[in-house]
Amino acid sequence: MKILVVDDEPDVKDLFEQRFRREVRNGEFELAFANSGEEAITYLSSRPSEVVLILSDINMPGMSGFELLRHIRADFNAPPPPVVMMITAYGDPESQQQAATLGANDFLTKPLDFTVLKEKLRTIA
Amino acid sequence: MRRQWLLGVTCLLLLTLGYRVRAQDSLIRALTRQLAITKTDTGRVNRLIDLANASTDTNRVSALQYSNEALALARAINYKPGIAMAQFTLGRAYSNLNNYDRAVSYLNAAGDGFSQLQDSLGVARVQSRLAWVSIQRGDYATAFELGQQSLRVAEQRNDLLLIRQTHSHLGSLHILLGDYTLALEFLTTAMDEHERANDLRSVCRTLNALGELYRLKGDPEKAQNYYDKSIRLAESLQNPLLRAEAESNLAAVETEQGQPLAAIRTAHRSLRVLLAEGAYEVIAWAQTVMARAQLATNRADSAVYYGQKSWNLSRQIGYKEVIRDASQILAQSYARQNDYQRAYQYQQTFIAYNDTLLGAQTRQQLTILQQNAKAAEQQAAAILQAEEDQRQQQRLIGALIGLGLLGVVALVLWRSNRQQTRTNAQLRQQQAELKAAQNQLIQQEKLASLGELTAGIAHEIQNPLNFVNNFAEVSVELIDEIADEHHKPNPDPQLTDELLTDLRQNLQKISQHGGRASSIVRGMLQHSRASSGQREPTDLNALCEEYLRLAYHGLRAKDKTFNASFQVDPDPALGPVQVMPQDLGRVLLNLYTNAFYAVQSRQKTTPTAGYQPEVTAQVRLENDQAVIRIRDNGTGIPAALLSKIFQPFFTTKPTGEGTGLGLSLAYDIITKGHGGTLDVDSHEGQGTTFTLKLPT
Repeated sequence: MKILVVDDEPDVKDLFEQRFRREVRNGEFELAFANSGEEAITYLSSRPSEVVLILSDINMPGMSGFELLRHIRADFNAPPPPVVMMITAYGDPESQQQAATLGANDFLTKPLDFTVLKEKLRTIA
Repeated sequence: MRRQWLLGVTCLLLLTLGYRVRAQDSLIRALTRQLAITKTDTGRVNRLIDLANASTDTNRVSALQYSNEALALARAINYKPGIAMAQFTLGRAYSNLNNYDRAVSYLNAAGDGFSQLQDSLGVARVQSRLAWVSIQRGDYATAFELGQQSLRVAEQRNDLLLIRQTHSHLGSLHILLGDYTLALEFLTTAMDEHERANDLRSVCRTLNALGELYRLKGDPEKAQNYYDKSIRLAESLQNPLLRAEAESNLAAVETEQGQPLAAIRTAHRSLRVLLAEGAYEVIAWAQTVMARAQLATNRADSAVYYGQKSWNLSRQIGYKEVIRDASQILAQSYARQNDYQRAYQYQQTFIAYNDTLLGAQTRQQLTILQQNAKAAEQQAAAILQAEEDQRQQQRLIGALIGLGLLGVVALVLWRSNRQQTRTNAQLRQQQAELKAAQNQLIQQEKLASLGELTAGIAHEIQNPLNFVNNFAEVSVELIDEIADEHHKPNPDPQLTDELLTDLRQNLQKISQHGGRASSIVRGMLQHSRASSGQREPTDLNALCEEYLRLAYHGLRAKDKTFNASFQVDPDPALGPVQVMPQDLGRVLLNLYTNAFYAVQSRQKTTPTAGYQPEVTAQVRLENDQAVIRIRDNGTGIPAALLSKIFQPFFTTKPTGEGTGLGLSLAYDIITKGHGGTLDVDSHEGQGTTFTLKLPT
């Protein structure tokens, strides 16, 4: 299963790679990373319907996570539509509501609980 | 309680004295040495002004010379701040030498200069000095108004020196206005402030003023107590002038207490010093004291001698109160000599001057009352009427009975005094309310900026902490894996190496993110701490970055729907710059918050497709100046408002949202605190750029 992680913090890449070391090694997950919404769009355009799941931060300079979500649902929604999970440090109900309205499948708050995240990913895979 | 407190303070002061006196001398010596090696002309002007400031209390004539020299040089190189400062020190020197006309004309010129330079603190210093001159000239209305204006600005800018000087002046003014309660309040405050600043000369003067307060209030014992303290302190300060001033007052109270012989001795001692120092206004006053004491011992001839001297001198320097007092004593002394013609003549002069001074006080009250509510205006009219009646009555009595009815005049004075105290009470209340409102506003501004920070900081710390926790947990997993690998019969050395490399990398990341969190905490502490006033080498690229993030997350925490892109364009070639980082941080936070507010407003009020809110900061080294440009593509500022945005209390935000002090404080921090400039360029509907230039 190919997962695209979108976050403006560069260290997120190292963190995910290590947290999912075993899963990557045994071929369960394949990870890709983008540092901004714009980069994520470029990635998705070059590999249509390859990505099964997208984990995106909401607060990023430039294109926000919400806008990215809107783009995904508008332009990259060919069946099967990718599962999108939004991640934010501000776990307020308004943001959660907005994410749901824009078509997010799940809403996670930072700090991420990787055990929970892994379980969620497995139910999708 | 109060007495013990004062005693304790005095003892403490005496202990530090020897050092203080030497310190003043060595300051002047050090400045003179610096002057000799200062090459640039502006530097020389500034050194000369420093010298004038350092010698203003100890050597009036050199203060005048240094100021003159500074002014000539500043004019020759057309150095505007120098010209204004030199005019101010020159005005102050002339006022110290009792040349009030010259003092006023230089002070006015300095005031114009400072307001052209938009130096409101400079203007306030001039106003405070002009207030003092107005007190000396008996123009209490002007003194009151200038004192209040100056105090307002001094408190706004938190200029402690100016605040305490103005408190002292207002204390003296209210003694003259007969409002002893308020006078005591001002003087006690000033006393605390002078002590905290360890300014012993001012403490000495304030002790003297407190003596005056109690003398005029009719409490000779307390008065004597304060004069004694002032004299002792002046002795330890080796300042004969301050000592002589207090002694002249002590002599007055001794006469009032029926000790004319002691008074004559004290007045002699005082006059000897005063004449040598050329302190004319005090000489004139001390001569009336001496004349009174002589009259009390039935030496009418000596009384006439001193009274006449005082009368001539006070006429020459235009010191109306002393002319009035001298006239009164001369009238009494000539009457004692049975020279009724002259006695009558001086009694008329006394009444005329008394009229003028009382009239001036009435006008003063009207001026102040006009600024107040309508209810107060009615009362003022009543007072005017009452005083008019009293004045007519006074003239009638004066013409009819002449010398015999001095007692009645005294009664009338007492009554008008009582009325003044009543109106002053009303003024006091309004003044207190205004002051409280002002303090609250400044406090609000500080709290608002702290609130903006707190939310931003919480977010900024949470992020690195998440990384620290995560990388620590992952590292434990890695160690488990390495251990597992070791226990296998055929361990894979390549995998172990890989795991160890990752482990090392994780530990580096933990330390790096931990460092990031502590630098944020350090920044927060620096912001909340009062500015140290010390410049330190600071990385402006990092400072701009740090506060941009704080401002963004602060706003983001308040309004979750808000989103904007922001970034700093740093100049790697710019080395550390000497600035006060807390103060500059405050400025950046304010400018960033305004910028985000502007893009947010534009997004809300005129939503257009494709509008991308954006705030950027650019750092550059240009012509030996560090330049920071803070740009937003928000609503922009209408041209009509551009000239007002740096004024205190100006805000376009809805009532309650902004204090209107942010930009005005920012402007002061950059221009006065750092000698830089802060400019704005804005186009309505397109955006705003603030350009901040700092000397490197």
